[in-house]
Amino acid sequence: MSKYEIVICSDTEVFAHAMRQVLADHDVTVTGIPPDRTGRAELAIWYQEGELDPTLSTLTGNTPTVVVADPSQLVPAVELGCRGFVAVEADLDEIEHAIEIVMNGEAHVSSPLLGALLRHMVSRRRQLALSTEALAELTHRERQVFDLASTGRSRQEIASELFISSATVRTHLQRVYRKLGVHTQAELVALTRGSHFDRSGDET
Amino acid sequence: MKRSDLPIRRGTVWQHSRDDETAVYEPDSDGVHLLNPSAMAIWELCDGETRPEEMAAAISELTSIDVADALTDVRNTLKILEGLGLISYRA
Repeated sequence: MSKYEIVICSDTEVFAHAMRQVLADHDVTVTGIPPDRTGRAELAIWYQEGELDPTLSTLTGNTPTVVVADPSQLVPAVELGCRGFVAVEADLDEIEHAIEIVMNGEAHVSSPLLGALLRHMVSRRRQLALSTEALAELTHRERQVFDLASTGRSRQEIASELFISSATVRTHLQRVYRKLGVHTQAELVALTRGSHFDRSGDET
Repeated sequence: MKRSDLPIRRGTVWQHSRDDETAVYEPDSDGVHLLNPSAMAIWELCDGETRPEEMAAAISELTSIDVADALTDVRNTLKILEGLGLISYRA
């Protein structure tokens, strides 16, 4: 039995085939994306051209993930929980290197993108400092909605838990967004989850 | 006049990246300098609005380096970049 299981999530068979070749000499089992995208593998490789699919966060919540995408997707990938990011134009050696680093429990980003990532993290820390004060301004109900929304729950799920309508949840969410200076639930989740390159602990 | 603790990139520089290094040409001094990825990343953060402490906090969050050690590394790198004429400090 192989030591590691790696899941490849790709909308192009060419990439998936190339990765299988790269990993052929390693003690790993390569499988395709599970239908529910929950992932139980030691690592996932997510390859996508264009804008990243937000459902990536479902995978990263369970499995350390290396994202291979356009450099413009670095910040979205970090906010969606990736542990490694490689620019799509990188060669397979760099992807293999990223896999090794992430499998060792560390984070990796292509060197030319390091500056952009650090800029994002500086900006995010400033925003978080501001938001701590803003949290104190939320009403009791807004705080309840915020607590549930920050875990990634949908509007319907929040409505069900709080015994209010979906429309009411939407209204509360809009107020929460405005007070915290964010525009989407994804930004809210990213703000409260902490950096996904934070080494203080893994996601549960 | 006491200078601020806000480093800022100097004027116009030309840069070319290959593999893991970046060559930076500073026309005023006619100097070409090779920066490794860490130095390049710190140089990119020198926008005149980011304090060294913020740079160190971000680096510490990204790596396993203690924030105090990261700040020491940042300050050492900034000293080198200033010596190369690639950054100055806002008044």
